[in-house]
Amino acid sequence: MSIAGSERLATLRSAPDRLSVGTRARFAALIGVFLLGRLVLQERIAFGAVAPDFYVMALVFSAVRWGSLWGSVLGFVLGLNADALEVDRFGMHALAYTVAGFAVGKLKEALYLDVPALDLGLLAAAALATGVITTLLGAPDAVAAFEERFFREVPASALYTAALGGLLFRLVRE
Amino acid sequence: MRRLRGRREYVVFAVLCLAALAALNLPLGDQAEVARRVNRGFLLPVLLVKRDVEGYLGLRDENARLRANLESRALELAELRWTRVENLRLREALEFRERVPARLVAAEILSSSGGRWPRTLLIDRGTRDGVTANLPVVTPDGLVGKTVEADRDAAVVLTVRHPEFRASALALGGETAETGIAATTDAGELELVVPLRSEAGPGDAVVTSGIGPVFPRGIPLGTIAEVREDERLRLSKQDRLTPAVDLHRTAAVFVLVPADADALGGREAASALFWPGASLLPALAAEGGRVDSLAAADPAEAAP
Repeated sequence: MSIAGSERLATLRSAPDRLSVGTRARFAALIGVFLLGRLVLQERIAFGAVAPDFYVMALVFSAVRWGSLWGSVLGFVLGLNADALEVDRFGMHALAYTVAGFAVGKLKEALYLDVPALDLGLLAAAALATGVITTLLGAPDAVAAFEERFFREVPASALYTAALGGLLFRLVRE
Repeated sequence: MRRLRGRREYVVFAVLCLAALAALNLPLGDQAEVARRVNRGFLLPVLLVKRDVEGYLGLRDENARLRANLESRALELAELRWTRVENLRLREALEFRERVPARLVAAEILSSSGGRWPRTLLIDRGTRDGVTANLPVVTPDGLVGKTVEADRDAAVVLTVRHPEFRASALALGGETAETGIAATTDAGELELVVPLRSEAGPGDAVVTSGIGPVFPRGIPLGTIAEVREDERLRLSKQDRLTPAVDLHRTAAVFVLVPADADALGGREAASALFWPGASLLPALAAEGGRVDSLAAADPAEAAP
């Protein structure tokens, strides 16, 4: 299989327990930045109900590098945090982020490519998947509001997350 | 065992999914308790620091403070009106019921369950400010919900949009004020269940009736948007309401806390507290020319 242009074979990094202390610290700091982004920035840069999901960014960033196991574990932890913020339907985000983290890790392993476009696609897909799961589980909303959320806000938020996340990933790479 | 180890990621994934599903199926009280523990450990300190930093940086905090101040003045004005109405009533009726003034504790919303109609809110006031469970939460526009869980520095509010929300309510329309139950359906619509005889129609105001353990009388819940008959049994009407408070745009709320908790003397908050905005009742009724109907709006009379 020929891989053109900037595409190259992925070098999936080791799981965090095999990383050096410095690398682990850098990852932890980066995850911390994403967490702060969720708590401090997310509301401010939202357009109504359309907002980037910093937890999804942290999740994809980790799952892409560490694989599905750590993707699902981090997804669960981040999901619990998101649930604690909202209380209602506690466990909903934990489930959504766990599924997304696992799926992103598996997809990355299966595709075995390390190209920015793939990361962008995974970001958008993960944000879309978590949005769809949380919208479906949080279903007791009026039909009109459900449609608005499902067909407009969730896809728009996924694109927003992918765009901002792609930018941040690029900054991190450089 | 070796096969399981090879499938470790699947096992962990399955366990985490099961744990999340188990958490989803916990009763609301237990969910709030778990959330409180997570909050106390990590999120709340960050959110409070964020609030303080924003306050230091200025504009948003200043804006919220001015808004809260303005709303507080509006409530004081309403309270003065209420006092006037109360005096008139006391002259007419010798029956006097001792009331405990409510202290309005202004609170900022730290986070909400999101979406257009948040079902729960996390506010930055807790037991340290006298906020406990089962206290009404309002804005000058009307009822936001009630507290369900309070920590030292924060409390969880169950809003009128939560499927578990219930409040006894009065529809101010027709010949008499009709008592009903306001509740949110599984479809997320706030509705008022009233007897079939109810003459309340679209545009009529709906307020809390004061019957029940939490909400004092007279807090606006919303207005009737659509009158619907119960299609299954045809025994009641299920009027769809437009909520008085736009939760999506609400940044600050007030918790109605008894000014002197000892003065309650074991009574329930609803029977002792009064809502200053109840003075709006005559105004609302006068607008529709239904002053007479207010006579029946007294909880004692309206009680079934």
